[in-house]
Amino acid sequence: MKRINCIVQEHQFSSLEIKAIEAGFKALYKTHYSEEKLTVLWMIFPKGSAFAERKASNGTIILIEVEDDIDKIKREELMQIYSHFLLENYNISPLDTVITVANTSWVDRFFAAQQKRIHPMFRPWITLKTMYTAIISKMTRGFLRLRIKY
Amino acid sequence: MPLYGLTSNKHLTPAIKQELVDLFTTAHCSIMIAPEQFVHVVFFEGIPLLENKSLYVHANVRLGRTKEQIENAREAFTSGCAKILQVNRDKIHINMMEIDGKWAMEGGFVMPSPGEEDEWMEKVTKALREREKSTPVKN
Repeated sequence: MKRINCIVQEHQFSSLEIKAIEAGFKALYKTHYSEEKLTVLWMIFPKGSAFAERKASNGTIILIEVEDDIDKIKREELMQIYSHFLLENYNISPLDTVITVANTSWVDRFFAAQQKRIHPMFRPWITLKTMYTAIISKMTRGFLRLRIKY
Repeated sequence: MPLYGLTSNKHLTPAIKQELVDLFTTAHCSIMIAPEQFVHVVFFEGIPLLENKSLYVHANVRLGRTKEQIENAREAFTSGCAKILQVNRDKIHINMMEIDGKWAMEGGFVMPSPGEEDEWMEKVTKALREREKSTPVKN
């Protein structure tokens, strides 16, 4: 299973749009890269929690997981395709977008670091809360939302 | 890129967050020699942190900086955060995770390696100027 992690701002998209973007991301991945199962995770930042250039951010930051042996041409093709998709369908300028196409080994380390930051005694509790929020979001809004505040 | 993810054990006031954002933006741009436009800082709050830290900083920065740049950045972030949060330095944890710039696209162009920014900056600056020109001025 591969992962896409999306950081977006609360005011940017409705739940319906997020669902549609997720469907688009999955279709692009299948068409242009791999048929492997893909999980899309959403971090939706409220006003005052995400910044760029010192100000409230309007940025969309996407992390796309790929195999370690991907070549340069395919990696860059994927960046272009996802950037084009956001511009064409949601008018998200490439100037406000960061798209990272990262190897599985790097993505594993990235997610491991997110776990490692938590005090070991509280890891099960925080993990449970994270999973609960994500599942409730999936059931009520159709996508996996990760908690930002606890 | 860079993306700084700041996780605090407590909830932070807007003023404190802005001070931290300014610290990371200023220190990153002066030490890593990078434009401000692309410094992203996001906050996660209320998470009990490893070793009872007050702040855990996860930094995704481009691969290729010198050891000295990384150490200087680490020192600036640690001392700056400790001062802003009024805690001891050992309450701040900095985790720097380097990533190949060529794995990321920002500003519409694949990012360069450190030291090769000129052409990329020229293209991005041109695109930003064009957008500014085309944005209608509000009266």
